[in-house]
Amino acid sequence: MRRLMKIAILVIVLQVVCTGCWDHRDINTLAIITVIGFDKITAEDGVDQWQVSAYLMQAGKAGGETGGSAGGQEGRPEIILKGKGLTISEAILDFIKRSPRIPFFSDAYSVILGERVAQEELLVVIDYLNRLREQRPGAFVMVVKGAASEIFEAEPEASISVSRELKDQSQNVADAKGIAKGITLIDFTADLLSTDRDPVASQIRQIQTEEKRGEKLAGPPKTTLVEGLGIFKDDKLVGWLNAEETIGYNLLTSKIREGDVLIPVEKDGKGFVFLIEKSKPKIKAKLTDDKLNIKVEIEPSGRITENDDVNLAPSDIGAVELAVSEKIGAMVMHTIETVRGYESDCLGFSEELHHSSSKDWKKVKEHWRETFLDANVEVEVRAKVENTGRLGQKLEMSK
Amino acid sequence: MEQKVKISGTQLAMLLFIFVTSTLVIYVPAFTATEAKESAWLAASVLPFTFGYLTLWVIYKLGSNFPTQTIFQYGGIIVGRFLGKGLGIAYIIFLLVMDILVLREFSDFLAMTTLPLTPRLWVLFSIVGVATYGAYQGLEVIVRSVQFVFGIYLGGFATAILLGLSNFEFGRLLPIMEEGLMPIIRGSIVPSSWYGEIVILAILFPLINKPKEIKKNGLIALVAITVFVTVDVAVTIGVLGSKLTSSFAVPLWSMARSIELGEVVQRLESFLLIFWITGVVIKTTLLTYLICLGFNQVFGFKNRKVVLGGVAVFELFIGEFMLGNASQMHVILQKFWPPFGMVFELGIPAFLLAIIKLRKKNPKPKKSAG
Amino acid sequence: MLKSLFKKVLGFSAEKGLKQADQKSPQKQPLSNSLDQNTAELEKKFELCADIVFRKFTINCEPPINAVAVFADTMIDEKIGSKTILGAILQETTSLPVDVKITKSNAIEILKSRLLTTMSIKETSDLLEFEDFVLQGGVAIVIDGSLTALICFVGGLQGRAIDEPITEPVVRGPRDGFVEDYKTNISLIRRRIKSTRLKVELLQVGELSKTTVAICYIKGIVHDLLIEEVKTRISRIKIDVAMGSGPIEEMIADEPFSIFPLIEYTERPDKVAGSLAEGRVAIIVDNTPMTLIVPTTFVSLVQASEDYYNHFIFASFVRSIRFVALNIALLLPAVTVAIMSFHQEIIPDKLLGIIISNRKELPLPIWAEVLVMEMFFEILREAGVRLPRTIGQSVSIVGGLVIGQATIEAGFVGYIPVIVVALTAVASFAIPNYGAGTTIRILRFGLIISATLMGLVGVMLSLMLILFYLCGLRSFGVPYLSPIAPLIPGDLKDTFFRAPWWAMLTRPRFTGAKEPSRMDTNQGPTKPSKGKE
Repeated sequence: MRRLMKIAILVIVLQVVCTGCWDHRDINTLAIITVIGFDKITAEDGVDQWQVSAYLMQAGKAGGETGGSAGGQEGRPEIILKGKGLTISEAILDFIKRSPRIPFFSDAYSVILGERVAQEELLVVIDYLNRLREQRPGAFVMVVKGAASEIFEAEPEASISVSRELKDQSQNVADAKGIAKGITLIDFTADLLSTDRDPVASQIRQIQTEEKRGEKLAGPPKTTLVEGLGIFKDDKLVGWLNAEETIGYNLLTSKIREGDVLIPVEKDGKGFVFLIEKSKPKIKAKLTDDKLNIKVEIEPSGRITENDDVNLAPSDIGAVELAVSEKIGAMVMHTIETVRGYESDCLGFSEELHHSSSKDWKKVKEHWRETFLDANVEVEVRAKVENTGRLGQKLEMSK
Repeated sequence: MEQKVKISGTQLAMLLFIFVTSTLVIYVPAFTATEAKESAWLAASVLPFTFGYLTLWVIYKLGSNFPTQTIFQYGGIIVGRFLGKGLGIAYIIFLLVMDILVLREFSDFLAMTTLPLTPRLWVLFSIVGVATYGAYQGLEVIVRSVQFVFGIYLGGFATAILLGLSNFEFGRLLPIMEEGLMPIIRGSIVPSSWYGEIVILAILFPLINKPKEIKKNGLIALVAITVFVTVDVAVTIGVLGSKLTSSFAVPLWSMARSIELGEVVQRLESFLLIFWITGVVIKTTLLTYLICLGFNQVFGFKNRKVVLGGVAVFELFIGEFMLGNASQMHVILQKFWPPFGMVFELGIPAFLLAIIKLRKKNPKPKKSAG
Repeated sequence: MLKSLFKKVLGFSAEKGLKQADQKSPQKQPLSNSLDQNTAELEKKFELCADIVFRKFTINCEPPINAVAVFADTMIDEKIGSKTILGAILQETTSLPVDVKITKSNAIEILKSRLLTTMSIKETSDLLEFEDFVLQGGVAIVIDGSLTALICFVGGLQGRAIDEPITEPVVRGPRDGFVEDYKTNISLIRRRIKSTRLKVELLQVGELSKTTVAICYIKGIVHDLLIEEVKTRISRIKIDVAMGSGPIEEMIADEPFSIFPLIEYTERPDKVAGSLAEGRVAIIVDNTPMTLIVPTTFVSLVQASEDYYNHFIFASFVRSIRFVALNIALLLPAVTVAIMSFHQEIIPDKLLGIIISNRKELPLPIWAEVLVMEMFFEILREAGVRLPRTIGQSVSIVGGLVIGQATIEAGFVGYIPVIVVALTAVASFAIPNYGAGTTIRILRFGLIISATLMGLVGVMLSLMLILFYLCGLRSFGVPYLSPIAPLIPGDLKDTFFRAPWWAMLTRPRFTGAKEPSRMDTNQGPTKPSKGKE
């Protein structure tokens, strides 16, 4: 009896072990997707279809060797694949079925949404991505004017691959320069689902390079740039912010720690450039007589990097700071007006009201968007010039 | 069996901590956030702590009346031999249900996250195998493993939660108590029933070397559990937002995978998983051991190997074939388990205690208890 | 259960039929008082023993007495023997005082008290005992007409000189190691603990080998129960030939199938002395330099004697490094396999690019590569250990460099398994305890297989299994994982790090609870106080 039981257990174990390794995936069987783009297109027969474009990490090139940008797909660190289908999964299957490999989303650092998708089918994509087992929550969400598939024609300029370039731009360049904001999938989803705030996503576009070396282009003909923001209202893309408005947006919504944000300022007909290194916004929302009062305080501090004949003597710094504050105030107000023009509260003003006083929030809950549009907004900027660079006073020509 | 084994106070606190938190920590953010939204961390702390403390108090009072006996044994003394047997069987079933639910939580979690294609039976088989071996080795071994694992378990989760702070936004925890108290109370039902799992003290009581310290150590464990779970829930919501927290099946896991510090410290969820496994293994092992002890004390089964083998096969069978898919499990955990668990955690012990108190007031000449 | 099964399978023939030859306690066999009869009897006993010499001689006296010296000429120093025994008896009889007359009846007495110059002399009247003494290297003198024989011990041939311990070398610390002769070994310990409390008890093991086993402990520190247990377990051994400490270790261990070393062995007398002071027991076995120490714990696997000579900060640092190495040696291949085939998301994308370009055209999956390379490395190590040192080096060069490089170049395996196996190998050399290294190697293979099946989940479940196993182990009653589990905070001073000597105030609780205090408090270095002038 006991021996029988032992044998039975042994048989079960052996069977399981011998057929085992169900989830074992060798690395070279993975199709590692590094950038994925979603488009909604209308096919010739009038049926709406998904078109999914993806960069796949290409074995042999992604590693050390960088050279050889010429020569089609072969020489590149990534290959481009595109597929169409009635659903996203079918579209992915459309290109993945050509090889025995398994799609692997864990390294998809960038998610690019075509304009139509962002306007019509946003929730489907976000649901799909959050449902995926491996999708990285830290992936950057970007929107593009036009079709996402156009981005996939670009070539890397500064990095070895487009995916890395996009990641670097979203993560390191855009935030520091203030011209865009790296929005991760998890933040985007949280903002999308919240009841009191609209999401934004950074804007990506394709640009033509012009630098030439002799007759030939010095770099690739087309490359990418992350700049500006796409504004959403609920789950629909409604508008765009350009680089300057985005700086305003960043100053309004986020704390800048190691910034590199340039603000060209004009004073008495002469210009100088203020560089913001640190900034901290403080938003206060109050409801008085069903009218929303927003008070924004921004305290940017930084240094002067460029000066065209503006007095920078210690006694003049106060005036300089005032000029900077005015300029930033104007920028920020412009951003707020633009955003209000799109009827979207992606600035988090209503959220602030919700957080600070849920009693007041209940009053406006039903029509919070209108309340936001009528709100009194007051912006107070207190810029601070920490130093004026290596030079103190302006250079004097004393001939 | 090995009644000689004695658990020390620190060991007990560690054991209870791992026992209770190992299921709480992964699932509780989702359950509480569904009801209590931003205030889920309140739902996971105040009321469940109170419930846990009540359970502890009742168990302690009961145990002090019968310091050398488990609930399997003194149940018979209090309500009579026949009913006592029924009570013992009921508690064995309670432990079995708890064990199977834990096993299923484990296998569903793995199927959802890392091992989607591996047959559930094999996943169950491997953990039940480990747990049965541990239970066969005895309580002393379990308790020692707890001591060994405790640092790893706590350190692992603490690191994950601390790193999660890098994405933490305080604003997502606001506003506090927007909808008043009711959602919080509703949200705390599930965690309460899990805090109440410290009812296993009723079985461990005679095995503890300083019964006077049980209350103190139980309280320490409870406070630690509360702090741990509160921080866990608060950070998860602060990172994911309450909506997303309630949408994800296992929010902590998603929280951990959103951690990205530089190029290398990222995607920590698999490590979180292995820390979690230590806790789950300890929990199922202890449950298996207690079930085995129950069979011994209620039915007088002496052959541990047979009991353990039977329990293992039974659990495998139920876990694999009798329970539905992951969503149904979710419903079971949310709707069925809390009332069921609370009856055994607080209801029956409180009833037993009441009987004792009444008898002490009107002592019958013959049926003196204890 | 497994034990009985094992015995049943392997000892099948022994239990049925071929019962071991009856081990009746041998009868006493007295000497007779006739020399011829004794000689004949002895010659029959030592028949075909070419190394036993019967040297007949006559004592110069009135009347001359015949005698015979019996000895194993391979086991004694002949120069000393001829000078102190035969020389003394044959030449010095003339210089005896006049009133002393040697007769048959008092020959033994006079030889013992006036003639023989050897230090150690025994008397026996039993032929069996006689036989034992001769085989132990004594020179037996049988005199005509006397019922007892004299046994003189003149010292055997020199064994190996005390040398540096090969398996446990240190940079800072004593260089003497145990040798094969147990007396020398005891002397090495005695030199370090010059106290009457150091007790040495001798036992004999083995029906044929009659191996001497010395149990050393310090009375007062060690638990009496522990000594009793050691003695019972050793005296329980009934074996024909006990070769060295290995068989004894296996026969007295707590668990029949433990892959973890439940008994520590060392060839360092300083380590033994230190262990004795902690209340442990050393078991010295004749004819082997490896001394056993019981009880032992898991932590001792990473303790090297050098830790106690180096400054505590360095020692603690090195020890924590060793813990890291232990983990690498145990886990690195398994975790690599798990991550590479289950949890690829952990790999940062830059590294992933390098890995896929390396693994593009490889024929084997990673787990097979790691297993094959591990196996290959084990073979290489075994080959290197058994060969003479000079050839061993060339084996490792050919194996490690040439074959490793060639397999990669040929595209059989990727770089990663080679890197992993090499790292693992280096890490496993950092574990001071050789036996533990073997354990780790065995476990490593198991972990690789479980990683192949279920990834990190499998690794963790296996580790929990190992943990349950370890928690259940005991070495002479001491929990194997102490002081970590059960946790004894005071004893953690000598685990992951080593506390300074002036803080090692107490002995480990499990072995030294009887006399817990090691030293006076407040002995730490202090600055000369400024107040006193």
